Amino acid sequence: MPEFLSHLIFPRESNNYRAKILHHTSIFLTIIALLILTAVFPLIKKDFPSILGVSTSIKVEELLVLTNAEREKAGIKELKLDPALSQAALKKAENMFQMNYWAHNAPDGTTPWVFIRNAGYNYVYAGENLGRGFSTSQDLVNAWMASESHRANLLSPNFGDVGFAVLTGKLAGEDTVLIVQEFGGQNLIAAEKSEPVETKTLARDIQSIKTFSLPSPSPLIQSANMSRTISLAIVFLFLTVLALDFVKMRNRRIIRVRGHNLDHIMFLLLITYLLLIVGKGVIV
Amino acid sequence: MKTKNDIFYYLSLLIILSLGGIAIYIASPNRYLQFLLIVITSFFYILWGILHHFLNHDLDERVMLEYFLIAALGAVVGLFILKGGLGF
Repeated sequence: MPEFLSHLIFPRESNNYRAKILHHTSIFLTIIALLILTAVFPLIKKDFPSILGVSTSIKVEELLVLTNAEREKAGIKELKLDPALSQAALKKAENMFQMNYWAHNAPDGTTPWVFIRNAGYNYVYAGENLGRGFSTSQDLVNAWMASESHRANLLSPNFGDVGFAVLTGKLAGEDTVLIVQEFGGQNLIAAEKSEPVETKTLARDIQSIKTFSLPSPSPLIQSANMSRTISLAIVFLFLTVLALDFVKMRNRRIIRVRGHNLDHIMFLLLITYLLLIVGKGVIV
Repeated sequence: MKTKNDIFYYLSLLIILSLGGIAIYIASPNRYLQFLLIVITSFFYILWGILHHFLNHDLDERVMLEYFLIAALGAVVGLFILKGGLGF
């Protein structure tokens, strides 16, 4: 076994002084294996969603606690979870999946305030924060706090109530998790801070109050995490073997007709960077 | 002289890869566009590799194939995470 591993990873006589894993056939087979996995993953997700799929550990209760923790730090009154605002958030999330958009305003011009009004929340001030593709509540709240406009909503003293929805579905052909945070204020409190973005000052009729949504059941394995782990393992293996080959051949001063390892290392480092940024959560 | 050329070569590769990385970052969350940009960056990597070896007078079919395979590996890794993992 160690002999075989050495043959795979280290340049030596048995592999013509080029690690077997860097031979053209090995790279080709790795590509084929990845293509097979790319084809198989969606099939497993479709037929066995309880095993492989999209899930999130984001919980409404956590979002509320983290939001209020940020408000407490800023010396602002905490928000109360409001069933009508949560219902509005749920309807907004469902609407984004149904109409296939990712924005505050729907393609037909429907604004967030329509959902809040229709849910029966009689607001004086209202605001909305959206998140997509986050896997933890802390990451999402951190992202909102890092954005000036979202932070303004989160810390606005005009709001006294909040509602959340966490919903999984397919958006633009991609399996994702949408998080909607709707803010509302029913009292005309003098706002000393600057006006938050997405704030309206219209009062509307109160309608029936409904309960808020819960996250979908989680699969055993998160497809995004699994594909990222497999990809990182493969890229890291190639990077390591290329670096070993580079050092060993340089020390022995062996000249070969080959591509330059340093070129491949630079290219694969870019791929590693992409693996770390692609598919991360976004906010609007 | 060779060192001076090497610096030029690797600086140009760094610029190509950085531009690709920045474009892919900006394209988020459009996964289709991100994959297209990965393919384009991989294509430019092949072109750069061929040109590099051509200017060094050591261009060979095996070298061209190696750049193609490494670039294809990068693009397929991108496809796997975007299509297999995220499901675009």
